Amino acid sequence: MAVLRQETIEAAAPDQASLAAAVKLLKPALWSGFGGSADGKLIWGDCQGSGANPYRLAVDLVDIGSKCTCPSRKFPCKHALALMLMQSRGQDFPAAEVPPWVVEWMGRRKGGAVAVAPTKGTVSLDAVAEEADAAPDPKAEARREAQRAKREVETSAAIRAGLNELEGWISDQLRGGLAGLMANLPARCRQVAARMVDARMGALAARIDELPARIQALPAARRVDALVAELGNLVLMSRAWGDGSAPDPGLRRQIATTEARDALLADPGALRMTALWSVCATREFTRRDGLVAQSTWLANWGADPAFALLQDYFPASAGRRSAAFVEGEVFGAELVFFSSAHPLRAQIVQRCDVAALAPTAAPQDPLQAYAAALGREPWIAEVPLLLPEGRLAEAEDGAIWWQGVARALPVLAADVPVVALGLPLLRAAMVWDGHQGRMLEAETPLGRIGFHG
Amino acid sequence: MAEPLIPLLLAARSRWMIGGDGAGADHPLLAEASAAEADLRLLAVAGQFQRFVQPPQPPALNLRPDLPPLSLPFLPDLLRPMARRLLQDKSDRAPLWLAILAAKRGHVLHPADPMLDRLNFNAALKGS
Repeated sequence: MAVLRQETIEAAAPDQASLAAAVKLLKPALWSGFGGSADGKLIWGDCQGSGANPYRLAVDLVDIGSKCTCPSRKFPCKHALALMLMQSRGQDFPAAEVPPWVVEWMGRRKGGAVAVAPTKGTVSLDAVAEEADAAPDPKAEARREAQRAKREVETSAAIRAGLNELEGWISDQLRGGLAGLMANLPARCRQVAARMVDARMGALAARIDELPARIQALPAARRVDALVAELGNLVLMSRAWGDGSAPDPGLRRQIATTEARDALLADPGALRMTALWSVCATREFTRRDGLVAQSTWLANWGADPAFALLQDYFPASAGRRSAAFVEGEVFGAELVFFSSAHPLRAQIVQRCDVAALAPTAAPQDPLQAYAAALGREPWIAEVPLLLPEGRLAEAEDGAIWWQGVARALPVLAADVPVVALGLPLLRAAMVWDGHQGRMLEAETPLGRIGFHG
Repeated sequence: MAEPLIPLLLAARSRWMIGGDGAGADHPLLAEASAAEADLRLLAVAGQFQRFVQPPQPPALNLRPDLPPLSLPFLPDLLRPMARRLLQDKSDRAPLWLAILAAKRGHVLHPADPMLDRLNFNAALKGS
């Protein structure tokens, strides 16, 4: 395999900032899955960026073409530059079979050398090293800290005012009648969600904005009760927020924003868990606010917590992003969970080798886990459940139910492939929202089956 | 004596459907609350209650028989993603031809990838 020269990488970089950002990614803990083709022309790897789902990237060493699943508009992006730098600095890329996604990318390429956009100013790795050696400015640091503290106070006040407005809106809906609200649910929810955005509650606004879709996915007879549950939940969240001086971290995430990866990694109290994780399901969903929610559900069949959710958001305008994982894939990794009474959302700290454990038996009544989760975090929107042996069955009205020994639960029929109705499900996973389940995966006598809407 | 909570929630739910101002009730949950405040408190409790109430199971759930055992082995795992990609092409009869190609080489597509119509498959097999 030919080793890339520093000058080649500098010439490929779109600007100095990209090169500087790439140098910051040269930490072994951020990388996994290195490989190279037998002919030495292709290298690939996974890079843990700022999101929860890692980026997959490959570099063609012949013409310095690259592919990365990150949403950056720069080409090559900082991750591809970092992969090139690692290759130039002696990183081992063991010869392996070219993964299907790299084969697919190569097949889509037009061929020939990639035209590199002219760069602005000098692009040099030496300049990056000089910048890194420059001493930090304590005055600028203090100014940033003061601005951050001021923003936090303003945000807290805006959120309390917004929650008061939300409670007032809910009171109005009760006085006016839920029948009227139900008839005009999308428009009314959109209005109040827009006001929540103004009050700096992006996460809560998205939840309210998606409320009509969740309600309308249910059979007509169950919609009013679901609406009562959702509105009641909003009141509960508002009261739990209080004056915002010490909100529960899980609640803050559901109302406002999620902590950045660096803050999470620096949190000494955050739950960390090293285990063998199986990719149950990957989902991508474009929200009404134009953000794409990319979710990867991981299951660890050996110990508690049994599930983890890698959740990322990116603008739909950034284009479609390839999934970071293949469903059914199993990998060893250390995960760090966002602080919560019911840990679920997580980030990958690093990949590592982990011995497989014998799977634990699923409880006969899967809703025990749901009740326990609600007990810990009453406003939680949905809870992943491990289902014991059961089967999917059809009701007279065409609805699909998962039926176990102790209980039957309705599931979203649109997700269920026909084949799943003709097989016993030895073990399965679903996401339960209190009204309806969405199947994620199942083990059957014919192997693993995925469910897709 | 305090009114029992469940009938209070049920009455409130009926009233919320058509709207109107809340009526006072003797319950510790609603102590010193205005009508609007009492409704919000009841709604928060009703919301939690509702999330634990499971929808009634239908009287009859129809279980389909198990899929019949297949006489040929499945496509190797390595080839299944490729087969699934080919099957996404809805413009022609890709599933049928792929199934026939696999069968002629001693394999069968995994039923979780496509579920083929048996009659169409047999007809296409005869015509191939």
